[in-house]
Amino acid sequence: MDTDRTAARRITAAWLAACALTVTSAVVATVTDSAEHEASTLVSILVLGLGAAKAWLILDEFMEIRVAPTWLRAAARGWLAVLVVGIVVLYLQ
Amino acid sequence: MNTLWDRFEGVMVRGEEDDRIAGDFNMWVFVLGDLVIFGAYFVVFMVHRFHEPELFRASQGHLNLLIATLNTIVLLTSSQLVARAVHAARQGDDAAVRRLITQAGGLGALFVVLKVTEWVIEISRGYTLPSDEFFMFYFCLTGVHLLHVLLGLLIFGVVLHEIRQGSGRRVTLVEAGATYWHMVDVIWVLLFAVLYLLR
Repeated sequence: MDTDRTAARRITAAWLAACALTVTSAVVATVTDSAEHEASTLVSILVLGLGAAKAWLILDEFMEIRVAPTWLRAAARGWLAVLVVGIVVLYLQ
Repeated sequence: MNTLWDRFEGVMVRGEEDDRIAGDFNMWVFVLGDLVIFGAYFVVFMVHRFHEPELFRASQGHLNLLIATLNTIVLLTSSQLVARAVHAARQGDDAAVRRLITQAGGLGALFVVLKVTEWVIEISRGYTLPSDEFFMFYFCLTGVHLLHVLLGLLIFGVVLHEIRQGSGRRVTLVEAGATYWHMVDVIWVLLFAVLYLLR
């Protein structure tokens, strides 16, 4: 039962953190925007990082990747890392 | 006699550390494949954005960030309910599973309503698929994702039906449905960052 309670607490904590990251990224993107919609590398890297953190939380806590077999953990986390790094590299070109 | 695939599955799925994965092995193969395909969509989007960054930024400014943010929270909440349904299924609490999956499905339906509302707003303002390259990607990417949401709602229906029938595979079914739904959530949070927030 303790394990069940711990699991429930982890799920709730991950959900609250993901919602907080969502609101934070939306607020950051809104308050830093201008009428000319100028590009901002700092804001872009920040919102991508917050998005990646949310995806990591979903993979690890909701999809239980953190306790999955090594091959699955490596595949899921590797996919996310390669994708986010790829997006950042293409953005910075 | 075991096939090569059975042996591979046995070694890779049951042979290490936690001994098992949540859900069905075939569902994980599908989910990983789908993630790779969506990853390619993201790369293609970024390549096109690289060629016309000003146009992409200007067009992005017409999107409704409020609805998109609300939809992100709706989908995250739905995923949280599904994660709790998995634990309820493992405890054999079928009533809780039915309640949680139904609530998650309701939020999934709300996501669809909000997404269609967002599209209607954009279209009524003259921003359609052929308007420019950004809106072509916007409608295609969110459209493909919406099809995944609809498939997820169908899977929830199958899971609820099987639980009502007293299926002996109910834990695996709930886990497999949850795995798919969380994948839909992962793709959305990245779409949200790239389509709506990237400056």
